[in-house]
Amino acid sequence: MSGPLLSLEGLTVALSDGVPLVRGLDLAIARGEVLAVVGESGCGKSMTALAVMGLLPDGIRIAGGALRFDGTDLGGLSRKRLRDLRGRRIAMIFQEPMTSLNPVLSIGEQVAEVVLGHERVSRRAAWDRAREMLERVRLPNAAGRLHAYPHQLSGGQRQRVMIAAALACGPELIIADEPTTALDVTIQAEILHLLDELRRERGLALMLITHDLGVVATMADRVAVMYAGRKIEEGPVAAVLSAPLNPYTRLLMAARPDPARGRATRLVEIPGAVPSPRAMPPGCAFAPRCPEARAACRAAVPAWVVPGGEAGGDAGADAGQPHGVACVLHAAPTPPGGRG
Amino acid sequence: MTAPLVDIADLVCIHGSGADSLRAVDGVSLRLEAGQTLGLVGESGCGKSTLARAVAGLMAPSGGAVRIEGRDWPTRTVAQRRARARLVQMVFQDPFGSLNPRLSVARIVAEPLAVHGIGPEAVRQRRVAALLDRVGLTEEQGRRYPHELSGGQRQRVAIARALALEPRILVCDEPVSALDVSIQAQVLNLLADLQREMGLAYLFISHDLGVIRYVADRIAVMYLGRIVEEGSSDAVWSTPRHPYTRALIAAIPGAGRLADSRPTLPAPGGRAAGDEGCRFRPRCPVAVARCAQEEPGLIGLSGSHAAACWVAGPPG
Repeated sequence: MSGPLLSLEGLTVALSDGVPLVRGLDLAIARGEVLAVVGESGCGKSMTALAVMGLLPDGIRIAGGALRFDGTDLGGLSRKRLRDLRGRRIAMIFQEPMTSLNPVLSIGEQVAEVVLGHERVSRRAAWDRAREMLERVRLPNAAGRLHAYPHQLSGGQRQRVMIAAALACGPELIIADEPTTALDVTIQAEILHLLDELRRERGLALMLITHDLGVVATMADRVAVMYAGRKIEEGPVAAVLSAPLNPYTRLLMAARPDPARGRATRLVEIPGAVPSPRAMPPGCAFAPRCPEARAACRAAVPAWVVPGGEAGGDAGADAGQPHGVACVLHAAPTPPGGRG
Repeated sequence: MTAPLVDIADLVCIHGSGADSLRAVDGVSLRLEAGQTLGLVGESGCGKSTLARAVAGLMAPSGGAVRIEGRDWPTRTVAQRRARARLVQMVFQDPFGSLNPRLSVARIVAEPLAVHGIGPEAVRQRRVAALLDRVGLTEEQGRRYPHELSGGQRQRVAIARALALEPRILVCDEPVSALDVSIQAQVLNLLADLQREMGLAYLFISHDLGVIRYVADRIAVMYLGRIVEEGSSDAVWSTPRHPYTRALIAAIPGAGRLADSRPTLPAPGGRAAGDEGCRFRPRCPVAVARCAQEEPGLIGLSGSHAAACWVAGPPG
């Protein structure tokens, strides 16, 4: 059995003064798998993506842990090797294509530049690839619009251009940070469908960062739920959404307006707000908002446990995919000796 | 028969002039009853925010009328605008952009009272304290500035300010779209409580049919300046008749795995000048010959449910 394509081992991302934004995060994505990373603002999901891509903003850095891609520790690679890896084998799609596309380059150039930056090919070949990719993402009249500029396209079309640029060098992993959040719902459905089609066709792994549990249910194989910089639950999508183990996951689901229920029910509120990274409560960061909190929650950060055992309690296709949680409600009766 | 609280009659709003003009609202008729919520859903560019501004009196219509309590409320003079502001207030998507960053929260909420010359300072202070308490903000938070609050708290400030003049109608334009799910629930519940206690009517605008379905008594679906379907929340949700409404519902993620539900809507298209046909036709999966010749108005289906579609027909 081959190892994961991407693994994060105890990843910690911090401000320059040491205040952590992501705390000891373990995540792994297999080839061809869709892992959703879900959480609210400030949970660290975007910082995680930027850390993998080497795009952390000034003043924020990786302060601990390791990133491995296809077995190689990224920390041991030269800048040149890293730059080659990111963009060619790992590509990223952002929420707002208008700010991540270069406004003064035509869309053909944007995609061709990616190819020229990573492969020894002629300009002609790079432009051919650009046209092919823009046609593949079904940009209407792609061949005739290679010289169009981003501002001449709609939001959904710009997102297609960004996907074409991400695909241009045949990546094995795409990290998509809220790729459809800025789009209208009918356009969102088309873009999600395109991403799903492309990853099936190319065997891509997808790390999908989103706040939307509907998108998770539609797209992902597994989901990791983050809160205040830590992973608080992870497992197969069906298991996590049908039987969430962490009260936060459960409340996050209950807080969504469910169209099927109409107005009859009052929405479940999660009182308070996400804590600031500079004012993290002791123990479980969700405890101050959690209706099931008890003294133990404030005593220590809850350990990661897999209640059904590593083999998982789920039958069928999900067998073997553990459903884990960091919550004292599920803590092992004997003191845990493992990680965490 | 009594007139509805808000009666929007054949409203037209045009941005710009000449060849570049855009009919953002192109002949919309809607009613909002006292104490009820009318949910207006549509995608970007459909004209829903322009409609909201026209109802709130922030934009003069180019044609048609917005009647409130059975009469027109012109906004030509300051006195007229103030009279209208006491009836209708607006809550925007981005409270950060709509709150003065240099004023404390209490000052922001007090401002409409001061502008309208309501009460001496002591009365205003008591009123502000009651408003802040009502929307779930503490006295201490009242002394802070907008940038010191979270997004959800800022939206509470915007709601408190909107309520200061005790309006009968709140126009809420995407009030929870910028908020995290857990905070969105707090604000939606607050709006529901305020409506029940104060008998407020809401014109609630959102691109999110899930949110609209949750808040609205009636739902109107807007497409390129026109209402294409309107009915009770249950009717529009359970038996959508217009192909655009059906596509909006089908596009809500989470209803199923993608492989089972391929999107059917082609990309949005503009409307050519002189096109007499249905404006949804370029994207419509069920268009027939008549759709190219004549634009349908709202056609009654059953009860008070109507759709602007030649194909939809009555359910059955």
